[in-house]
Amino acid sequence: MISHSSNSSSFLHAGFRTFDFLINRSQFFSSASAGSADTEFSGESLFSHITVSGVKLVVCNLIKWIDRNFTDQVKSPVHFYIISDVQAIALCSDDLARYALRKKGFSDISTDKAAFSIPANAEIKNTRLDNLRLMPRCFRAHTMQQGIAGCIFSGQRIGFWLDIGRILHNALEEKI
Amino acid sequence: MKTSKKLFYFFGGSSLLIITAAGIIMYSYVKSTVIKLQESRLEESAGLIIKKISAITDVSIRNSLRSTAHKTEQLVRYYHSQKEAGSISEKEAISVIRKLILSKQYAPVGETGYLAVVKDNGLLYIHPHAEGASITKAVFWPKVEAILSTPEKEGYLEYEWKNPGENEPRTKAAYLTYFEPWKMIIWVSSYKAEFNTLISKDDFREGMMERNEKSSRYSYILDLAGNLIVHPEIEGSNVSGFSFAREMIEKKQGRIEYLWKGKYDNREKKKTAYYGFLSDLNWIVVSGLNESELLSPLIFLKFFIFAGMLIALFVFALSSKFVGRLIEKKIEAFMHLFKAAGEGNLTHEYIAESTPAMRDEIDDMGTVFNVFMRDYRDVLFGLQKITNKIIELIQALSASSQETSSTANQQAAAVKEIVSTMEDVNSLSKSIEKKISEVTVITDNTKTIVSNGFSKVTASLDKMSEINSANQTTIDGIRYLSEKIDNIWDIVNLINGIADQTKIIAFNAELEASAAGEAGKNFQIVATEIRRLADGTVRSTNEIKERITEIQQSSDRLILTSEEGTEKIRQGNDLTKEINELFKTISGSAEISNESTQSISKSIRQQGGTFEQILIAIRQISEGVDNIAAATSETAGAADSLGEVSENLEKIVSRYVLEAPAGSGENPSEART
Amino acid sequence: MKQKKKKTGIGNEDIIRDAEAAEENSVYGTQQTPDGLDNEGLPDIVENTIKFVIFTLDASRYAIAGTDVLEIIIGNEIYPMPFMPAYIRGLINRHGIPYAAADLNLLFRNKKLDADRYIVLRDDAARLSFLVTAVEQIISMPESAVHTLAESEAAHGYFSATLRYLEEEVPVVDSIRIFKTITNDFAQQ
Repeated sequence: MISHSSNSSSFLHAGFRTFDFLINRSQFFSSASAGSADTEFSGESLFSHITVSGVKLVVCNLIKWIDRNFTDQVKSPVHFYIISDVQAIALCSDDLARYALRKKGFSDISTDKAAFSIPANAEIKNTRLDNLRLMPRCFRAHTMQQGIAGCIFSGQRIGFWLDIGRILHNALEEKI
Repeated sequence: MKTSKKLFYFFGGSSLLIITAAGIIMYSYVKSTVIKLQESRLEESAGLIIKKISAITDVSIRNSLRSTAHKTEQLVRYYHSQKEAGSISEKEAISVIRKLILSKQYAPVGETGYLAVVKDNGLLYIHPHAEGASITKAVFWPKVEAILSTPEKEGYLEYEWKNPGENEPRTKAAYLTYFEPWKMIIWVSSYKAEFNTLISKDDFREGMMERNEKSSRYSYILDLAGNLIVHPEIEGSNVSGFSFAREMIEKKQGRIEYLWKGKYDNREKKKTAYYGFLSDLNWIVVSGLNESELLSPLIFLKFFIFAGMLIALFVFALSSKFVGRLIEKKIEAFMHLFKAAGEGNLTHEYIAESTPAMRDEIDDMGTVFNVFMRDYRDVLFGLQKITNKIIELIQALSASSQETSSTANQQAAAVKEIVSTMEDVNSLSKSIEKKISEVTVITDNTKTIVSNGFSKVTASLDKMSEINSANQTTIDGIRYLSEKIDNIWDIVNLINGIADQTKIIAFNAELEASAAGEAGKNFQIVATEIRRLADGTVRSTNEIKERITEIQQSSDRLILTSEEGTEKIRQGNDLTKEINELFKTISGSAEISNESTQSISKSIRQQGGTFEQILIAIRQISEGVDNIAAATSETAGAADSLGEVSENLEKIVSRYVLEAPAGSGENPSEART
Repeated sequence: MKQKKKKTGIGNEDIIRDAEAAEENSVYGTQQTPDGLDNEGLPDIVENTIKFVIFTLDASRYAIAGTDVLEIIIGNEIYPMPFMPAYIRGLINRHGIPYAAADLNLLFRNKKLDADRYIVLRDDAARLSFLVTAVEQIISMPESAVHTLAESEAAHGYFSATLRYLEEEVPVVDSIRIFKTITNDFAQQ
């Protein structure tokens, strides 16, 4: 149980076939719709890039990440982007700078902002914090390291609470 | 042998040869030039002396003849004056004059010379041999006329004349004066050669005498008898016994070399001389000098040539040594580069001369070498990458080939099974065809039997219907019972599930009670009772299950039996009906069956033919699949071989160091000259 | 692209911190460390008997100390989790709290168990449960009837003792050792 002065907070809920996925609203500050000029995700890479308001952003394909690790697919193929500041997601800007140096075609990406690909059926809901559960202690640190902060039960469904900062860091370091 | 030494020996030796040859050539040329010069001086000297003597001789002769002519003219003039004075007659005067002129004692003119008087018409008026003869036809007469035409009416002339009894004409000299009153030409003449006594040697001796301790150059004159007319040392001697003198007397003009020991010579020395002939006096004028003096200008030349050779040799030696050393250093630098490359280190580079003026072809070669090595390193880098890529691809290809080969083998096996099955089907079709033929025979027999049984079957039909109705009623009742049992079964399962859960709740309660300790003791009893209840429930439900199972099994058996009975009746009924129908059908179709079996037989034969074609096609496919399997095996084998080749290539490439050690902060090491 | 200055919602770190604090203060289950058992209030032990829960994995019978067991639950759905070893089948929902479900059959015999009953361990902090085929009984055994394994025997396995039940030697599962195994496996990943 979580006791906090505020009992609820906003979370982005994305429903997949088997599970739901939650992202804390405080981890992103803006969104953008998918456009025809966006670079396609190719091959095994989780990354591509988009340009929003003249700024080139690296895009992490969360949908593919979820599919790869949870073997769960989206209900709808349409997606959009959420945009995060590196400080809000506790990411080191050096991570993006190193990636920009390493990968061809990414040399001019922004190093203090990043985008994530989200299914179009996601919605922001006010979620009771006392319903959010941390993982069992025997592997809590391990799952947090992988980007799974906790979970929430809703009827017969389980929703996984994701830390997109950790997921992006691991993906940039090619740990996943 | 070191390059510097080779350069030294080659260039030094060749330069020495060249310089020596040049020196020899130059010395020879200069020597010949000097000799020519000296000899031309000698020749000129001889010529000058000859000219001088000739001139002196001419003057002497002319003076002598003129003197005699004037003297004779004085005599004639005297007697003319006497005649004019009347002392004597003209005839007497002429006679006296004749007597005097023709007298040898009067005025000897050489040896054979004489005085004569010629009239101006050319007649010899007074002459020792040919008075009265005319000389106007003589070759010299025009010269005489020319002299007479001059105002002085006197002059000197020379002409070639041969006295009677002589073989060759000789040069004769004459002086003429003209005595106008008597129209007489006073003629004094003699052969020039007879005037050598008139020549004063002192007039030309001085110019001929250079002989002293320092110089062997001098001239001398000898006559045709070999007497030395003029000589600085042995004048008056006769040298006709010497061969050189005889040659000179014979040839009269030319160049001669001979051995002579002079006054200042301690031994005989080779002498070179030029000589010429003074025909007027029959003298041979000789100018000569010792050969050593002739070649004296060459002494310094020899010295300079030799000194030059030594200096040049020294300079060549030094410069070849220096150049050789320069080249050696650069070549050593290259050796270092090649050695490192041979050991696999390709990071070294050649440093060329920094001064553009000092750059040579070796530096250019070094620059080109550096470019080549950089290109070579790039090529090896690329080769490394390509090799690694090839190895990856080959591994993938090998895996893929093996997979394909395995799949192809499986397919081949599957196809072979198909072939085998098709063959079985084919043989089966043939056996079916055979059986059909047998059936045809049987149908004929059946037709007869059917007709007999037809009537017997009809009677049993009615009886079966009655039994069937009674049986059906029984079955319906049992089914109803069975449905009810199923309902009970569901309830029992539900109770069992609840009992199960109750049991779990009891377990949990017991566990909680244990954990609660003393406070949970009463709860422990309750939990135990609940568990007992659950156990009892479970046991009861198990019993109920057993009972229900028994009932169900019984019902099932009953139903089964009834159904079997009904089924049998129904079957019998149906069978009867069927047989009835069958009889009708059979009897009606007996003929047809025959045709049908034949048709079937035909179809089967066709099918057999089709099967055979299919079989052939499948066998071909099988062969093809075998080939594919073999090919993919070969491909896998080839991929393996290629893999080995790539690994060998990787080993070859990996022996080269292509980059300087990381973190060293240094450029690739360079060979310095 | 202008970034909003005002933070929307509560940060992840705050939520996690509060959750861990709540866990520490939670009255849900008993507060026990994995390294020790709470011996208070177990009248059976005072009487020199020990309660054991007898359960089966397929046809094999095992026992676990009753003091290690919090609850037995049935029929819960397993939610598979990524980044887990094979024997952690996933999470189960126990009264709204996620528990790890460990397949002991995979751990002992490397064979996946098809079952829907779970023995939830009493250590609430660990939040670990064992997937079992069935819970047969809860028995009380005198202490003398339990054969504790020597340290050398127990060192390489997951069992601390054996007992005789229904003419059979039943191994007693050592839940502490199993928990340590799981923790070490995650530490090495």
